[in-house]
Amino acid sequence: MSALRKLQKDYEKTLSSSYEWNYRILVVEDQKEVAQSYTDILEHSAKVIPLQRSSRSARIESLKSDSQEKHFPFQLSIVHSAAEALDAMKAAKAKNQAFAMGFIDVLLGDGMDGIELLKELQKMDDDFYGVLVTAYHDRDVDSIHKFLGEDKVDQWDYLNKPFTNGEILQKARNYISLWNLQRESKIREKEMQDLRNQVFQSERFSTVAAVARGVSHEFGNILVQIMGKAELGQMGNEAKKTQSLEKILEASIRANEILDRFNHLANPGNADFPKETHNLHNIVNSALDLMEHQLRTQAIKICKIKSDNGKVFVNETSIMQVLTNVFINASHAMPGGGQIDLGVYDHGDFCVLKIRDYGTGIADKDLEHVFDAFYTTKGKKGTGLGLSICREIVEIEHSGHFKLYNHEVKGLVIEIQLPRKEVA
Amino acid sequence: MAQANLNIQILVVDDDKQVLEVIVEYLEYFGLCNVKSFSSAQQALTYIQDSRNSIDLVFSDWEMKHLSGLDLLKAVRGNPHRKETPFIMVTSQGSMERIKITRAVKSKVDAYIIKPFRAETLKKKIWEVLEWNQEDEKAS
Repeated sequence: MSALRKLQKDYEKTLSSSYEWNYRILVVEDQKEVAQSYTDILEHSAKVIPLQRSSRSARIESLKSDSQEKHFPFQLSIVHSAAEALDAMKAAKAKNQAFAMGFIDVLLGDGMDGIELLKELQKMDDDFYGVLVTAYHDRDVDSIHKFLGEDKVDQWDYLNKPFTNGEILQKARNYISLWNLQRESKIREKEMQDLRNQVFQSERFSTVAAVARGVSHEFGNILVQIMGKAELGQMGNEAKKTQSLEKILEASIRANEILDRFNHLANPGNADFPKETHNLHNIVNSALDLMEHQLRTQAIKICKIKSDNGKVFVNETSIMQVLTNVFINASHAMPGGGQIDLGVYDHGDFCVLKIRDYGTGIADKDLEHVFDAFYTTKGKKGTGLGLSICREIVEIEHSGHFKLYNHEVKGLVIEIQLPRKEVA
Repeated sequence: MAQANLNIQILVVDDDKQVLEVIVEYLEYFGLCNVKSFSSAQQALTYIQDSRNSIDLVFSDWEMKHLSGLDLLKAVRGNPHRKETPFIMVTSQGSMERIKITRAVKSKVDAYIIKPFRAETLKKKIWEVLEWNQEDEKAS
């Protein structure tokens, strides 16, 4: 599956993942009878009664349309004082079970009143919606607004006693919905952001994109030179024109060299490089034979530390190219001589070849760039294409994996995973 | 719109020496001759950080080794003497352009120009960023 297809799948999975609604409501009411009414209205969410005017026996029948609508299984926590409310909020936060909203009686006996309490509760939980409930008209909305602050203007509401069943039910539905929709949209937004980052990362690490970026950067520079010299040459005298033409020719030669290197990558894998079943040990030995002279003159010893089954389904020439590239890099990393450890490991459907040198490894700041085309730490010695070609051959042509990391003690490890059988 | 002041000090940074040469030639052709150029972003950074150096306009490539154009932009904006110094970013065409531009805008880049470009585009950007009167220039 292509990386992009996989991302798309993950994306669909993420979006269809269900979001659990939060129906937790905190009720702060010091009169036990009124508190009980909240339970009756919200937990059974059926009966409509004018609360202050009647006993429970006088309830009238349910709203018939309810069963057709979204069901709100409210979860009530009823407390009777400001102190209890603060404790409940603290406990809810600790359990990561925040309240979405609360109904808060303004007159709460001794201590702080409901408005002061709401301010404290919102300090503890910024997202908490509060509906202030009062029988008195002692505080107008403007003075409450001033007290709670400009930034909380959409976080509270106001209800006069006596209230009706419908008012309580509808406020609960509104604020529960608002809280959850906002939370859900925040979560979705974060998921989208994560996905965008993944796409960004996948593009960044895709060999093809890296090579394309490198080529694009180089060609941009070359075209600046060609267009600039042509334009400036046009405006200058004969000598200037001749000099410009020389520069243009130089730039064109540079472009051609880049194309040559790039063409290495552009070879369509399967058509030109048929794959067969091979023994990886033989391919490794052939590559070592090719390198024999260089390894010997540089005093580099080869140490085979593991020899599991080497059956692989590959194009021999391509893998030879990868191995010689890796051996050349390793020998460059140890100019004063050293050792290369080779290990062939069995890994299910894959055969893993680990190649470790005893050089200085790669600095962290370069490690993230080693697969970028044209990136080189070797100055004029490298084209900066070696590792991106290796990875292209292993990962794209062979559906394998090409990894590179610093050994925990010393040197660099290249890990090449190749399939044992043809990959469909 | 002000009259063009061709004596301003311009800093040009690009790690491709050929590109650097072309940009400097273009600037000279426009009559802008006080140009300091660096093919090493590190050296340019040292130059920027030294507040004794007068810089009226920075012209920098984005993709350079070790330090990027964005690093230079941040250094310019981070220097109290250079908060307002106009900065033009040069980028190559590529898939990351949109992300890059967003980042550059966040760090208050004044303009960006995509390689390759022609004399006219380059001049227009410079004149725009410096708020110079382009009509006057044509007439003179």
